[in-house]
Formats: sequence, C-alpha cells, structure tokens
Amino acid sequence: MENNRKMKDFLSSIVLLALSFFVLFESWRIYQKAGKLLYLSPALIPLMLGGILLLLSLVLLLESLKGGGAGARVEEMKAVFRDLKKDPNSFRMLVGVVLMGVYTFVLLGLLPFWLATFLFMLLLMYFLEAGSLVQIVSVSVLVTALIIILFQVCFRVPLP
Amino acid sequence: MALQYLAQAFGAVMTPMNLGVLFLSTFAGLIMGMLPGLSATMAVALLTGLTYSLPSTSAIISLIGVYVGAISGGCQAAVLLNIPGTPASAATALDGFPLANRGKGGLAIFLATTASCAGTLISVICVLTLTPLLTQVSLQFGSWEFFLLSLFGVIICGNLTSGGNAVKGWISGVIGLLVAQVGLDQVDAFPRFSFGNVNIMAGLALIPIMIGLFGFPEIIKAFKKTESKVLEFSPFRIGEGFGILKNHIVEMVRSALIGVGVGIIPGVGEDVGGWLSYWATKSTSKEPEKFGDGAVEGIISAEAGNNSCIGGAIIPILSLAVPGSAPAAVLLAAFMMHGYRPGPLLMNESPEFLYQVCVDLFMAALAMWILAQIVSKFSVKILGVKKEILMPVIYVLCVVGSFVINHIMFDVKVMFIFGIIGFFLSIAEFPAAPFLLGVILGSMTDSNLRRSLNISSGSFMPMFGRPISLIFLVVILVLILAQFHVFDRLKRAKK
Repeated sequence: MENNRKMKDFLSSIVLLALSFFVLFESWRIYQKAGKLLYLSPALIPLMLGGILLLLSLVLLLESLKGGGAGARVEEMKAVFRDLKKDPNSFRMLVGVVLMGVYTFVLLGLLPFWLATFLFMLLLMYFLEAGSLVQIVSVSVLVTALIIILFQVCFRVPLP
Repeated sequence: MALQYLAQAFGAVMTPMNLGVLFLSTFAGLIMGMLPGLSATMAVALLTGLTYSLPSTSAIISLIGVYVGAISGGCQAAVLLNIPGTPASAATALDGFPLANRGKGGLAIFLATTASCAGTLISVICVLTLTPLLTQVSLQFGSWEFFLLSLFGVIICGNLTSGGNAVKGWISGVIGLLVAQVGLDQVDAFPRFSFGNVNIMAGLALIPIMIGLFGFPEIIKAFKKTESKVLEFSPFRIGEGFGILKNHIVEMVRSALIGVGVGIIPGVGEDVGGWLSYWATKSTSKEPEKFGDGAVEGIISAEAGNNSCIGGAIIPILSLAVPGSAPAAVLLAAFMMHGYRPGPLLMNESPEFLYQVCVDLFMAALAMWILAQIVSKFSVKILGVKKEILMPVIYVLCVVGSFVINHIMFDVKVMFIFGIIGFFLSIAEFPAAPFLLGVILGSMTDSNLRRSLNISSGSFMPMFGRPISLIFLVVILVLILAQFHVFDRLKRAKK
C-alpha cells in the first residue's frame, strides 16, 4: 500500500515537473511579449506559481524515491500496469470514458441533442449490462424525453 | 432594522411558489445526496443552470434547499448501505451501519437527520452573529491582505484535505491557481495560456470545472462491478429517538460549533467537519470503545458537524467572497450569477441579503427534516436503483449542467477534460478541494498582488508593516513549517 502510494507519487511528480517547466517557459514568453517590468507584468503570478510547482514537485519526487529509489518505483509501476491489463474493471472504465468522450466531442456536434443522448445512453447502458434491451431502450427514451421536457419546456433553458 | 429584514425574508419564503420551490429543491437534494456518486457540489452545480429563469429570491431558496438536502441525504446511504452518499457522511457510516445491522436502521436515520437539522439551525445563529463581525474585519483588508488571504486559503485547505501529505494538497491548489490564470488577465487584458483560441481567451468557466472535478471521477469509478447490500429500514418509536438526542445535546451543540468553525476555513468542507466532530466526541467520551460499533453519539456528532458546516461555509462567502467549502463555491458563483455581490461591501449594498440567506437556511433545515422522515421509508427502493442505469443519466445531466451556464459546447468539453484531470487526481490521491479553491481565488491572488506591487513600486516591504498581513504571514509560515516537522525537530533539539 505504502509502496503503491510512493509509485503514484513518483509518476505524478514526473508529470508535474514537466508541467512546471511548461508553465515557466510559457510565462517567460508572456513576460517578453508583454514588455513590462516584472512586478507589473501579467507573467508575474504564472512565473511564481510555475516556480512553486517546480519546487513542490521536486519535494514530492524526493519523498517518493525513499526506500528503493527510481528502479524500485519503475518495477512497481510495471507490476501495477500488468495487473491493470488483467483487471476487467479497467476495461469497463476505459470503454465508459471513451463512450463519454465520443458523446461529448462527436455525437453532440453531429446529431441533434435528443438523438445523440438517446444513442449514448443506449450504448453505455448496453455495454454496462444495465438490464434487458427493452429496459435499456425504455430508460433511454424516458430519460431523454424527461430532460428535454424539464430543461427546454419547463425551465426554457436551451440544450446543446 | 434586522427584525424588519427577517420579517421580509420570512414573507418572501412563505409565498406558495417559494415554499414549493423550497420543498422541491430540498427533496431533489435529499435524493441526490442519498445516491452514492452524486455529491452536494454536483447537486448545487447542476441546479445552478436550472435557476437561470427563476426570480433571484426563488433561485437562492432552491440552491440553499438543495445544498442542505444533499449534505443531509448522504446519511441514508451511509446507514443502510455502508457507503456514504456524499463524502460529508463518511463518519456517519462508522456507527450508522453497525446500528442498522442490529435492526435499528430507522432509529439511526432519525438521529442522523434530526442532528443534521439541529446542526443547520445552530449554524444559522452563527451566520447571523459572525457575518457582520467578519465583515467589519474584512473592511480593514487592502490588496496585500486579500492576496495573503487567498494564499492562506489554498495552503490551509491543502493541509486539511490531503490526508497527511500537505505537499499534495498544495500542488493541487497551485494547479488550481494556474488554471485561473488562463485567459485575458484582469489588469491589462493580456492573453495568457490561450494559444490564440477565442474561447480560452474568455477564461475557463467555474461550473464546468467543478462538475468535471467532482462528478466525472465518481461516474468512472461507478463503472466498476461491485456488490452491495441495502439493509432494510426498520420501524422505531420517535419518543425513543428524541430521548437519545436529549441525552446527547451537549455533544450535538459542540459538534455543530466545531462544524461552523471548520466551515469558516476556506475550502475545507463538510467531510472534515463531520470527521472532526466525530473525533472530538469520541476523544471526550467515557466509553470510546463503543465508537465504530453503533454508538448513537457518533452518528449525532458526525451529522450535526457536517450540516452545521453549511452555515459556516456561507459566513466567509458573505463577508469575504471566499467559499468555505466546495458546494459553497458553487453557491458563491450562483449568487454572483443572480446579481448579488458577496464580500466586504455586501452589508452596505444589500444588507437584507444576509437575513434572506439565514431564513432560507432555517426553512431548508425544517423542510429537510420533514422530507427526510418521509423519504427514509422509501430509501431502500431509491438506493436499489442500478448504478449502471444511474451513471449514464448523471453524465447527461453533467453535460447539460455545463452547457446551460454560457450556452457553448466549449464548456462541455472543458467539463470532460477537467473530469479526466479530476479522475487522475483522485487516483493519485491529490485532494480536489484545494484545486477548486485555487481556481476561485486565482484572479483575487493575481490582481491584488499586482495592484499592491504597483502602489509600492515593486517592493514587498509594505506587506510586513500591516498588522492583518503580518498575522496571515505568521499563520502561513507556521502551516508550512509544521508540514516539514520543523517544530518537532526544534523540540527534540531542545531536549
């Protein structure tokens, strides 16, 4: 449990270090573009935050390396990813996220809201084995209709 | 004058339409709080868009109703399912579930909801008395103080919500502060981190970020296959319930006051209030070994503590425009959306608003108690709804809730992206509350620091010459040094 936490801290500190370098680089560009004294520049706070993030990420990285060093953390990472591949729940979560992404970025852009929502609910509930096909279709139709009635008709709120 | 404002506020709530709105929204809050995966933050955020077309008085009533309902509703799942409906009820599950297992589920829910109601009512008194006091203090605040207040908020929130490793809480807060820097800056309207995108230039809206951070991870986690058994609601005698409450009135009042105190601290929410109150009761109890095995005072303390946090969290909103918890942050955004300007000048510009909020809170607590007694009879059925059906519906609501704020699809995409970020934060055990507080306080930090430095020609020295600034600086320093065990080392070195 403790090592798993250290592995998570190790991995996240590396991502955060990359993020802090990116923030510092972009902030420096803002500083140059704005052409103002640093204390008046719109880059002041981003530069300060980028620096603090870099410092905190280093603290987290150093803490995570205690007890085995980077080699041990990499081995733990490999073991966790092996377990994740075998875990059926990881697959369910991944497909769920992909379906939500498809609904958000593709279906809602291409189709009218009611159709996109109906298809999304149908597909996701079918994948999650929420019930019989009749149940799934009924719930999808009912929920889509209820949302449209509640938001668009009762509260006159526009929908995507 | 205060009595006149109170009478006006009662008059406003007592209209048939507003009473209907109050009961409906509190009911919606109870159901949303009851269902694991739907937090109070989500409940308030989703409702905010719906209140667009309502008159502002009704909108505020509905938002407070849903907030009170959701925080209290979480106890029903905690008692009958051993899964807290909201994080605020986590401490309630420790004793609520064992009591329900002994066939006293009905009694446990009654004690929890009555303590919740009492906690909220006690917090109303605190809102009425402490808000004007804090407003007086906040009127002394200048740019340096507001800058340090925002830093203090993020740091203390990081300390108290990170489960021991404050560095992770601070990182979360710093990322939140960075997110708030995206778009045109408030001083010079200079584009930052927008990469030429017009939508990003306008800045990232708060509600989609909140829905993403708090709702999305719960939806993904619910895709896992798990088995859970809902216990039956068992009948009980109301007299027995009131008798128990009478015997533990001291614990209830103390927990409510602890909850208010926790609520006032920026960003630290109802879950910490519940845990701290539970811990205080356990550590002062003559029979601490009973806790965790169905101790009634455990349930009473946890629920009085988490619900009184609501009032506590509203105090800094009204006096400083700084939210005391994540759901309160949405409430702050909603107040602004409906034309109110919380902060030091609120008591001058619209003093009646404080009394309206207090009366709404008072009425919502009563409505919650009445509804909770009715709803608890059907809890088993509500909690039996398959999450495989519920979660797709909730995601559609997240999409709609994100869209209705600005009516642009960009916000829905922002919600999705912050949902993914929130999910990874949750896996890596970074608390989301400091992140959210950082997003809210980011512009306050930026504009106040630059304004101060502009006046002092780039010097930080004036910060050390102001009493309130100095207090903030000392507290911030203590919080940081304590995390690195500096005081422990000093003590050991002395020995």
